[in-house]
Amino acid sequence: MLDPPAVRVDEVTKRFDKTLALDRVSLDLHRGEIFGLLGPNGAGKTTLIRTILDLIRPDSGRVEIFGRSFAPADRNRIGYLPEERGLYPRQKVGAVLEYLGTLKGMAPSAARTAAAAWLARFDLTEYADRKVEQLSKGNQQKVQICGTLIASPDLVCLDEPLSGLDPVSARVVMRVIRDLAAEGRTVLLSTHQMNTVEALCARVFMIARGRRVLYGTLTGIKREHSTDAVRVASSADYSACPLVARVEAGGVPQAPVAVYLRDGTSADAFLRWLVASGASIESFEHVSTSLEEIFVRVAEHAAVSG
Amino acid sequence: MDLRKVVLVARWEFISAVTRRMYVFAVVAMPAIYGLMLTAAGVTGTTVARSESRRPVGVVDRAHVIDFAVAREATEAARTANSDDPLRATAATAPAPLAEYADLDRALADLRAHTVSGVFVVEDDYLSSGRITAFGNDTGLLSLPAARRRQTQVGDAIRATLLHRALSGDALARAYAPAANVTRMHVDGQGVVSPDVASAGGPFAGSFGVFFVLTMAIFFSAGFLQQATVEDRQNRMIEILLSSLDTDELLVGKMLGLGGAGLLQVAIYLVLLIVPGILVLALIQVSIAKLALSVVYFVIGYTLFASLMAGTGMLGRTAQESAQLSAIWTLTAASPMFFLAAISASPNGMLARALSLCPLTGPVTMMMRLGGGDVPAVDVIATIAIGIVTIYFTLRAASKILRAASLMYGKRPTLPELVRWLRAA
Repeated sequence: MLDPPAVRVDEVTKRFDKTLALDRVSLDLHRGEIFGLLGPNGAGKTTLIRTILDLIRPDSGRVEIFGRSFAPADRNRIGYLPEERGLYPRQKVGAVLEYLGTLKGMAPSAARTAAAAWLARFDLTEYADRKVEQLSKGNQQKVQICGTLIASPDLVCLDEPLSGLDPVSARVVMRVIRDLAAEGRTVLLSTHQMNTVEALCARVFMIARGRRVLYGTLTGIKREHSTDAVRVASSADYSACPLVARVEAGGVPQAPVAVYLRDGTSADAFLRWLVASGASIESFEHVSTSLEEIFVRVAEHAAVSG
Repeated sequence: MDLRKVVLVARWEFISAVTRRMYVFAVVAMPAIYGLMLTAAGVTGTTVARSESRRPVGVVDRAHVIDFAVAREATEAARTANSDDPLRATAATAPAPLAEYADLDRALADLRAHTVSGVFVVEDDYLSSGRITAFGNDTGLLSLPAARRRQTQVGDAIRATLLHRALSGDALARAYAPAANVTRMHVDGQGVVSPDVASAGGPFAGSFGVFFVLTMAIFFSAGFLQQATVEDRQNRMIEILLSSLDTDELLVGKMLGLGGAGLLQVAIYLVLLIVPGILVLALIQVSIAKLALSVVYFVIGYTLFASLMAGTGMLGRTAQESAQLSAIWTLTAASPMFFLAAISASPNGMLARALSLCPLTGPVTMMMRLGGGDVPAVDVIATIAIGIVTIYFTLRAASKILRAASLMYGKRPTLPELVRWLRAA
């Protein structure tokens, strides 16, 4: 029998006064996956995360964690790094982490050991006895990530975990996220950094105006939303090709041009026509649409369609 | 509710509160500073009083109505007779002696030289006219009471001499101290007569002091809670905490931890400032039952106001705004203090009972009433029941507000939102 998903959101609706924050949203998070949650500002991402964590109760619909309705004990199995984050500024780093660990059900000694291990992993060991307010913002953020992960949660919800981190620290955090998934933990990653999503996530969910606008595997979404175009530098007369919808030339002679193919035409078919035409081909490249382009296009469409 | 998490939060909040610099300053430095100031004020006051009492009062007795030896004897007799009566007890320092002058010029010269504190001329026709002329060179706030004291002293000397000529023996002693041996009894509403302990000033002030201190502890502790809740919101910690425990666990943990910090503060004040004084006497005279009841009202009052202040504290965008919003509860809770005189005069009167039955003023009023005398059992039962029911609703409301408002960063909830949350509670 298959394990139930780590998180199942089923037809969840949440309204705040006149604002419909979530409109019959459904999604599944599989165990051991890094799941990307995307959406423009105010789309409902944070509300969705808070609903999953039982910080907000839905008006209708159902949320299941680890195969059943949320139970208070599940809090010990969840790590949450909210977008609006903070720490006790006047307390020592080690003490704060120990406190957060014990609140997740750890014994104080185990929490101390885990805190030391996580601080070491983020190269923060020397700051354990310093007050939080004495740390730089970036280091404070790393301490917050340590606090989120200290109790080895099965479900980790990270809201913009890389914002404010330098590239080296960001790389460390990305490695940690990959390791979590490799250990079988489920990571819900909410971010605006599309390159991070492309680098880490196999599946994504995009929400706009409280509604689902994209949901599925990253490759599937990219395949579905990519424009059928190739970039070609050749001597061929593209206007003679029945497979070509239009051509965008850069204005520079001999430079590659973007050739947009008619619906249903594959790049392979166009390449076969090109070879058969006898033209000399200098370069041929399939144009892949980036997730960012898809995000912008879908978000704009959602905004226009209301 | 996970009690382990409640204890963890309580421990964290207690340690965080008592290790704050402001707390340490408030607990240790402030009493030390106030103690020094009071000591300095006491020393200077006593010095001034002593120097005042050492300077004689000059008297030019043109009517020859004062026998100075008799006057001294009468003053001493009155002091001895009144020493056990708290209603008539005189100042600890002995009155200044009267100095007889034959002529006014010399007396005034001594007044200018500050050898005497004042000069009284008993005019030739005093017996028929009562004319006395008083000279003084006092300045400052205390000049009028000092002049009155001297005038009373000269008047007492004249009265003593006149009575000495007309009376003798016990009659003379009674004339010197006519109400020196009074036994006070108290008649309660049921007609039961008993020794009137409350009117003996000191013990009443002392027993009232116990309840006053507990009342102050309510405000200290509830203030800590309001401050800590606002800080959690400002530190953005609330959302992280609520992903680990529920609002009830967080609220109760904070109330226990910060209530403990407030009680510790008051306990230290008691040890540092009050124990050497009147409270020792009070603790001896306050019955154990009343003390236990006071603790019950303290717990009710603290829980009630702590939950109110925590809930209200969450509504402000800043600590200052939250403190302003929460002030309404402090003022309401302290309002029975405005009726201190009426409540202490009639602890079971209409006003006292009405304030006791009001949930917000009940705990403090009941503590004041316990300080003033016996309180009917029905009042005790009713006020405790009202307190518990009110706490149930305020805790639920505070928990809902904490949960809902904690997720609204930098925003103050609107009135309709607040009403919706409270309805949900």
